[in-house]
Amino acid sequence: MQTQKDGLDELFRPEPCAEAERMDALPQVSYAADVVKRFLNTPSVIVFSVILAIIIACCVLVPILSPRPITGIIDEAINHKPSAEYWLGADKFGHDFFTKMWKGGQTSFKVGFFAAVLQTLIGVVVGAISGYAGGRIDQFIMRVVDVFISIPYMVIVLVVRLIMGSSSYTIIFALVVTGWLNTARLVRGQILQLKNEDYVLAAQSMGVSPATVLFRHLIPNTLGVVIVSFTLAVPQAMFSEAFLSFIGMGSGEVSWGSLIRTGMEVRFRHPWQLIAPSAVLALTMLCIQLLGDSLRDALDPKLRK
Amino acid sequence: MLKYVVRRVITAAITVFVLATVTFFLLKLVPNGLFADPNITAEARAKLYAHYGLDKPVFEQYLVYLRNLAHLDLGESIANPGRKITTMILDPATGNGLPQSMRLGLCALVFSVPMGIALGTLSGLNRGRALDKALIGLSLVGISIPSFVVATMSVTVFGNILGWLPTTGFSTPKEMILPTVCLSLNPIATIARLMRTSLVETENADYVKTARSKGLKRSRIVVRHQVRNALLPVVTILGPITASLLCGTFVVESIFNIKGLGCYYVESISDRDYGLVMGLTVLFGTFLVVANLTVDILYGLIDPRIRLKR
Repeated sequence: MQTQKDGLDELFRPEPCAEAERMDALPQVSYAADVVKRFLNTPSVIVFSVILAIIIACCVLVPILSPRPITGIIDEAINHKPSAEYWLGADKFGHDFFTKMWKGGQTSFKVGFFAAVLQTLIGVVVGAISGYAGGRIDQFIMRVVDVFISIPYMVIVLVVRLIMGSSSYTIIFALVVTGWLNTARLVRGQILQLKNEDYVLAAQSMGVSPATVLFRHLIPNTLGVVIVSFTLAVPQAMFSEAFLSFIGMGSGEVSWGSLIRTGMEVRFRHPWQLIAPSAVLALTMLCIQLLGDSLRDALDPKLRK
Repeated sequence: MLKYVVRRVITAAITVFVLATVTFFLLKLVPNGLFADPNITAEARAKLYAHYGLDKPVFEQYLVYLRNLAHLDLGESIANPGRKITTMILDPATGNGLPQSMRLGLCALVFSVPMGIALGTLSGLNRGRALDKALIGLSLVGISIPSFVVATMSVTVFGNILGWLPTTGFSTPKEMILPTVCLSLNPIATIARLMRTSLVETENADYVKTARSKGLKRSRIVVRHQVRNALLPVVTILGPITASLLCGTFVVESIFNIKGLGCYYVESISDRDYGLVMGLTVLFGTFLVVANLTVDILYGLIDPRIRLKR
C-alpha cells in the first residue's frame, strides 16, 4: 500500500513552473499604483513631462527674472535684431521678445487651466445629477445641453466681452459656459451605466441619501473618464484662447495667440516673432495632448497586465 | 426607425427655434453700442433706430424677427447699409459667402475623410511596426498643432518664400490646395486615430475569428469584416468633424482672405453688425443641428443593431 502510494506520487509529480507564471506569484498591486507605474513606464511620458515642466518654469520665471521691461515704449530697442542681449530681438515697442513670449505663455496657461478646471467641475456635477436623477430632470437637462452645444462659442464670447469688458477672465467665463457640456454628457453616460451596479443598490437599500450615493459611490468611479476629459480640455481651452486672440477677439492681454497675430504682420522682416510663439504653442499642445493620451492608456483597465 | 427619425427631426426643429430665441435675447443684452459714434446727432440716431426697427419694444422686435426668419429674411446689414443680409450670405452675383464656404468645407471633407480612413487602416494593420509608430506620431502632431499655426506657416513658406502656391483666394485649383490642406490636417489626424483604434478592436471580435477559422483570405477579412465594422465609430464622429471644419473655416478664410461666411462672421463681430451676427449664428447653429441629425440617421441606417433597438 505504502509503496504503491509512493509510486503514484512519482507518477503525478507536479510540473515545475517558473515563479512568474504562477498566479499567486504576482504581487498584489492596487489599481492606482498600477496606473502610476504604467504611466511613468512610458519613455515618452518622461521626455514630454520634462519639456512641459521646462516650458511652465520659463513662463513663471522668465518674466520675473528678466532685466528687460516689457511695458511702455523703449526707444533704443525698437525692432532690435536678435543679439546676445535680446535673444529673439525686440518688437516694435522695443520689448524684449523672449521675455514677452513667456509672459504670453502665462496668459495661455492661466486661461487653459482655469477654464478646464471650472468646466470639468460644472460638467461633472450637472452630468452626475442628470444621470442619477433620470426621468424628467434628465430629459430637461439633456435638452438644454443639446441647445447650448449648437450655439457657436464665438457668440457667447462676443456677448460676454461686450458686457464684462475684455480680460482673460471674460475668455475663461465664455469658455466655461460652452465647455462644460461635453463633460456633462460624458459623465451622465458613465453614471447611467454605473447606477445599476450592486454596490449602488446596496447603499440605497441601507438608506444612504442620494447625495451621498452620488458623491461617495458614483462620482469617484467616473474619475478615470473625468481626468482624461480634463487633460483634453486644457489644450482645447488654450487653443480657443490662442484662436480668439489670433482673430483679434482675445483678452487684450499678451498671449501666444496675439503674438502670432502680430508676428504674422512682420513675418518677413522679423521671422522669429512668428516662428518662436508658434513653435512654443505647438510644442505645449503636443506635450499636453501626449500626456493626456498616455494617461488615458494607463487608466484603461483593459490594458492592465 | 420612422418613429425615431420623426422624433429626432422634431427635437432638431425645437433646438433651432430655441437657438434663434437665445441668440436674439443674448444680443439684446449687449450694452447699447449701436451707432454710439458721438458725431451722430440724436435726430439721426432716432431715424437709424426707426429704420432698423430698434425703436419698438424688445418683445415686438422679437416677433418681427421670428416672422422674418420664417420668411428667410434676416433684415438689413448695419455695417453695409442698404444690403440685405440674405443676399450677403447667399450672394449669387459674386459667389462669395455661403457658396464659397461650402466649397471650402466640402473640399476639406472630401479630402480628409478617405485620407484619414486610409491612414488609420494602414496604421492599424501594421500595429506595433515602424510605420504604425510613425503614423501615430504624425497624427498626434496633426491634432495638437493649431490650424492657424499651420496656416500661417504654410502661407509664409509655400506662398511667400518659395512662391509655389498663391496665398489668397479660392477659385482656381492652384489656389484651392493650401486652404484645403490646412483645413484638413486636423480632421485627417482625428479620423486616422479613431479608425486605428476601432480597427485594432475588431482584431479579437468573434466574427473575425469565425472568418479566420473559415479559412478566408486575410485581404477579404480585412475589407469585408474588419474595415466595415471599424467604420461605425468614424461615422459618429463626422458630426463633430463638420463642426470643427466650420470653426476652422474662420481661421483659414481670414488668413487666405477668402470671402466666405467665417470671414464675414469675424468681420461682423468686430463691426458690431448684430443683424449679420444673428443671421450667421442661426445659420451655423442650424447647420450643426442638421449635420448631427444626418449623422444620427445615417448611423441608424448603417448599423442594424441600433435600428432594431429603437
